[in-house]
Amino acid sequence: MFHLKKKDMGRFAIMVLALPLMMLFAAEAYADDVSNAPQPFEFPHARHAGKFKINCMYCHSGARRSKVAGIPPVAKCIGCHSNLPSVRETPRIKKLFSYWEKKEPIPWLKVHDLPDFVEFNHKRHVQRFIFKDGRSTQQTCGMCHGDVKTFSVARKVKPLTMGWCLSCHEQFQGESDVGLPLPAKRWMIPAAATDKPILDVKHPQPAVLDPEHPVTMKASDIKIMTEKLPKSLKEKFARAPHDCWQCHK
Amino acid sequence: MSLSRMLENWSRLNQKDYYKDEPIMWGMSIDLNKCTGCASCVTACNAENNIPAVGKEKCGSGHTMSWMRIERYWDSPEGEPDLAVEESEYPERGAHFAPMMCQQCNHAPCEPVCPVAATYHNPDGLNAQVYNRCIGSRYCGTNCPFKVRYFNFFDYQEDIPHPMEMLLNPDLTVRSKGVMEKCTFCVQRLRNAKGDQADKGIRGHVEDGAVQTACQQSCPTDAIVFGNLKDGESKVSHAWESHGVELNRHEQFNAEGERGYRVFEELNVEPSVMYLDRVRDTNA
Repeated sequence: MFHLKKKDMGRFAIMVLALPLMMLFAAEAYADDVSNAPQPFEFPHARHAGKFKINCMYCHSGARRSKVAGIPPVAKCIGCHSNLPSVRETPRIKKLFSYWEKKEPIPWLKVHDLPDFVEFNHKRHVQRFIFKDGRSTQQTCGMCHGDVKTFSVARKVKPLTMGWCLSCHEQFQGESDVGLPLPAKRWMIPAAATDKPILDVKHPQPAVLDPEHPVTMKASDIKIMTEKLPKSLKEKFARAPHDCWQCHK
Repeated sequence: MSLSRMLENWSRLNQKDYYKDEPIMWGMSIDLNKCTGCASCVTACNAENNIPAVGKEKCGSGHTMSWMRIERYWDSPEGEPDLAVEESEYPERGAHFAPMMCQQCNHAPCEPVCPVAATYHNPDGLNAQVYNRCIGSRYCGTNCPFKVRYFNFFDYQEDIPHPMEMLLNPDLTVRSKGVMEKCTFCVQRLRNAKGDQADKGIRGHVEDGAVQTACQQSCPTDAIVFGNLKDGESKVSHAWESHGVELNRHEQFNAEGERGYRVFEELNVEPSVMYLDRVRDTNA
């Protein structure tokens, strides 16, 4: 028969009391919200991308040709702002020029920071959606970064978790140039073989997504889509391993 | 591991053309005749793959970290170099070097024993290791006949003094304590090469020579050849063919002049790395 001694009771009480505290700390540690992150000074995306409709890739120029989109150097800011005397005396621009005169980079905080073990390639996505499919830049970037043109300061609005990545990749409808499904689809379809809608939308989706976006597709539709594939490929889906090394490094 | 999983693995093992339709299977050929044992491959591997330098003390206590190692053997059975031959200018002392890294076995003994499926076989014929899934049971390392899996007993990267962490390769995880790691055939380079091909609209084919592993790149004598075994035009498949080494064999039958073999073939682990035996000029 199991019974608690007096000493154990004390320990039990401490555990019961400490648990909510521990959970609170854990929640703090994993809090994703960096909207109040102390950036050196505010960068108003709403003005640049929203009001003046500057293309995202003008500043984040790495997005179309490398894995990382990149943060522009101070020189890029100055390139425009040295010719904009109308805002030269505002506090933020003064701060910007102080970094320029000190010849120091601005210590921006990274908002969309993926874990070390995740491989995300901006180029693949940008080349596919913007240059091949001809979607607009803001819509494409908005799939992962939210409706940045309405943000005063960039913040993370999408969860950027593995399940969230798969919500697109499981139902991706694209075909590559050689007629084979894209690698992501080839190796991830088995996980989607249920009749439930895959994306249980718990996170608010900003309005940039159009109704034709693949996240609206259901698993049953995918099944129908898979049926149309040649037999050799279909068999492969049934037994294919998921290639973790596509996205994990 | 359930019985059904075991049976599934067994049926996969017997299904020899499991990856028949996959366009890429990475393979390697190492010519021991050319290998001088200079260990520049080891250095290149450590630099490319963020491998910590653990130091003499930790090596002594069995905490070695080195995805690639140079194994040294002596011809004489006593383990001493035969110094009797001193006549010629460069006497043959009977040393034999074998670079040893993960052999990317197609029937890998490490894969079925992982309790969390952190190691698995990927469609390119690589034995993959997913660090964020690894729980550090070290069963895979125990089951590896080549002893090429290395375990992070410590958080080595915390000791790096400040600006030096900029040396780390960003294409690769910096592994932390409690994670098993091993040679990946420089999968970050392979992934980039496949991406470059995809930019040109080509999928499932990487030009021979478009991608090099770090060890191959640094080898001063070009002893290491790396490429796609499925591509009949690649250097590595030529090497395999010309030295009579085939997949799905327990033993290679070398004809005259052929000197290819794979390590521990009799275990039926199907390594993707072929070694070319060293030839000695015994009359010198």
